[in-house]
Amino acid sequence: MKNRFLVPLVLLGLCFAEALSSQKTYTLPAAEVQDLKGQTVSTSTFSNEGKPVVISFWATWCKPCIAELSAIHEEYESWVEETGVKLIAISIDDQRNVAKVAPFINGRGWNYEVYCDPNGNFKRALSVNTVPHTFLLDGNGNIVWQHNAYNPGDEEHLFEMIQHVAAGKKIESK
Amino acid sequence: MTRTFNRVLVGILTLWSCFGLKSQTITDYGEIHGNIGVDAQYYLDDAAINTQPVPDIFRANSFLNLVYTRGNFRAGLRYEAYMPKPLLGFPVAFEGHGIPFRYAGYTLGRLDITAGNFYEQFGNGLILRSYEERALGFDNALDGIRLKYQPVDGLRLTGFIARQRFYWDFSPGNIKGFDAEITARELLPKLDWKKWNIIFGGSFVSRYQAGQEIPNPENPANLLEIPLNVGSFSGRLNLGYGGFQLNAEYAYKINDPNALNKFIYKPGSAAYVSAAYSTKGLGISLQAKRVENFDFRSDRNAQGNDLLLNFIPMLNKQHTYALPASIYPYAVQANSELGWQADVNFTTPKWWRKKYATTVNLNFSMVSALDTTPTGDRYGYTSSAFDLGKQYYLDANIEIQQPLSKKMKLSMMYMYLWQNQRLVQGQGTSEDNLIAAHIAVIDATWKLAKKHTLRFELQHLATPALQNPLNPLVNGSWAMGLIEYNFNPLFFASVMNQWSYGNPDAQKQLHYPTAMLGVTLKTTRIAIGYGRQREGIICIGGVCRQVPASNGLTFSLMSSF
Repeated sequence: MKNRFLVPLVLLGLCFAEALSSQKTYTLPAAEVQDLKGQTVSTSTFSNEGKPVVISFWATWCKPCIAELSAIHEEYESWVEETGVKLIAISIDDQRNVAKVAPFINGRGWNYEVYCDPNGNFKRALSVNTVPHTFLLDGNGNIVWQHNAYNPGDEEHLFEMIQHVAAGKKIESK
Repeated sequence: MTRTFNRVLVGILTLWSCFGLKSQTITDYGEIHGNIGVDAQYYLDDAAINTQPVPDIFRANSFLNLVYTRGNFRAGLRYEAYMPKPLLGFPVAFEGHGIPFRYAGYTLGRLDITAGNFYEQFGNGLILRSYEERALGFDNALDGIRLKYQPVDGLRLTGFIARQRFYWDFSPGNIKGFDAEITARELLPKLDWKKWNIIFGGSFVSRYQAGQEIPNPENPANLLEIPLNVGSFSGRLNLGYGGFQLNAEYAYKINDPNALNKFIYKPGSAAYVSAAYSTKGLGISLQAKRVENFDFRSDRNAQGNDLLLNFIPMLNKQHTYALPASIYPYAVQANSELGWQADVNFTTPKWWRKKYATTVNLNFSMVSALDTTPTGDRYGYTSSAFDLGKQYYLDANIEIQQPLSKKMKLSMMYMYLWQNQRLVQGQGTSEDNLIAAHIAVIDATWKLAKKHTLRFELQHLATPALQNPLNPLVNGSWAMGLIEYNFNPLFFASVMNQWSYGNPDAQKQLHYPTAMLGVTLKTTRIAIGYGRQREGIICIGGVCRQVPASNGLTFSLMSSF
């Protein structure tokens, strides 16, 4: 019984591994999220006119996420000026906290484009395990870099990556 | 002979399709992404914290998600393994391994079809929310067929027929659901909406479950007439004007005699309202809800966290510091709740502060039972609309974030908590256990040098010891300390201790030390830990799980690709 499936399974596995390793692009999947007014928006409409985009998954209860977005907030104006980057913050807060998201970000004066993903549609589509999880998209909407977790100073590395992408350079490892 | 031939044939076909795909341009064969996770623990005996002897001392919960997309087509699956047994605290029914989640879907213009497993939420979730909370072992995925259709801009229709996942099986009830949502601005784009934004929605969810024989408590010789179909309805409105936002939903459920309402015939209802205002530097929100007999599941006999169909949002702050989050957490009482919450966020304006802005969050919440009068008949009780019954919970807290310099950041929290522990958590006691606690937290981050960071946490929970605590190990005051070192972005190490120094029983004044080491490589995080875990309740997003005390070595790996 086991033997019968072994050969095709191993072959399929090899095939799969091959497909994965030669996969050059990672396009942003389409999923439905809500804007801060409760209106449904498809993530396929996300764009920044050919400039880089940072997508940051966070939650109002996630301390490292708040630390990351606060740190970026300090530098955001100069980042935008230099590279034209746009940060899209995706709150994974569920219905318990969705109503608090707009007061939370406005209360902190953050200038980001913010959407809510209360049932995890977009989070699952992007295979996000835990927050914070940050993605960097090039001007064509391809995910070229991603990182999980945040520690003070990580935003400097993110900005280097943004400068790289804004200059049209390739990032070596995804 | 034929078998060998078959094998060769399958092999050739697989390779052919593989290389066939490869020979095409890369974008042609779509993309595969996913994530993987392993949580394992090696259990040690520890008499001081009453660990139970564990027959399988090494256990692991693992999963692998694969998502395939190609143009408008998508498909995915999740493999789960709980071997040789689930980690302690997770439902034992998870034991085993397999593929409980798989789906395929296609988007055709304005129509979207999903066959197989899916997650869905209607409105605020009052009558339907299916979701996964992996850290709790909670997954009420639906399995069936779902259609989403947008006949015109601004009108969204969703309909499905499905059963619910029940560990490695399905719910006995069949679920049908329908939702319609109108976004006025999109439907009538020519009107001048100025700053207005209006969204209406309505949903219907019904459960069909075969009948069963339940003796009538009033007359045990007769059986109860159990409704086979139970329907629930809800209507919602989302109204926005500039910085104001109002969200209200009302839901109703016809008679649904079930194990948790003790098979009464009273219909259920739930109302939720939230109002928020925000402008740069200030955000205020107010929320209120009333929930009566509104536990809705895909099996009338289900209990605990099993087969939940709806989601009643909790109206209290979601705490994440260890002592406020897990010593006396609140759990939703879906059959009787009246509560409200106020939350204010502000940042000190530039003219007020010296150099760094101070961010303040004020939060207050209170939840009570409904004021009810038993009727003695099959309808159970009558209730007053707004009179409060016994209070469950109260939480008043303030959190302040203050950078002291470029290198030093400080967070402080104070919280007053009040809880009727018997009503919120307790079973088996007849006396009310009233808890009043003062909790203080200091959290400091110190950037030593580029790439090197230290973080400290000090927490204290002060409460008088109880005569008859629900859990004798969690009685009296607690202190906690944590030190964490980070080498960005690669490595972290932390040491933590929780100490129940205020326990009236000197034998139970225990230390719960844990140490953890971890590595983060882009999207892969590997951590090993060693120490003692306190018995307690872990709550995430409104669902709680009882975790037994344990001692041992933990390993976790999370990765996405």
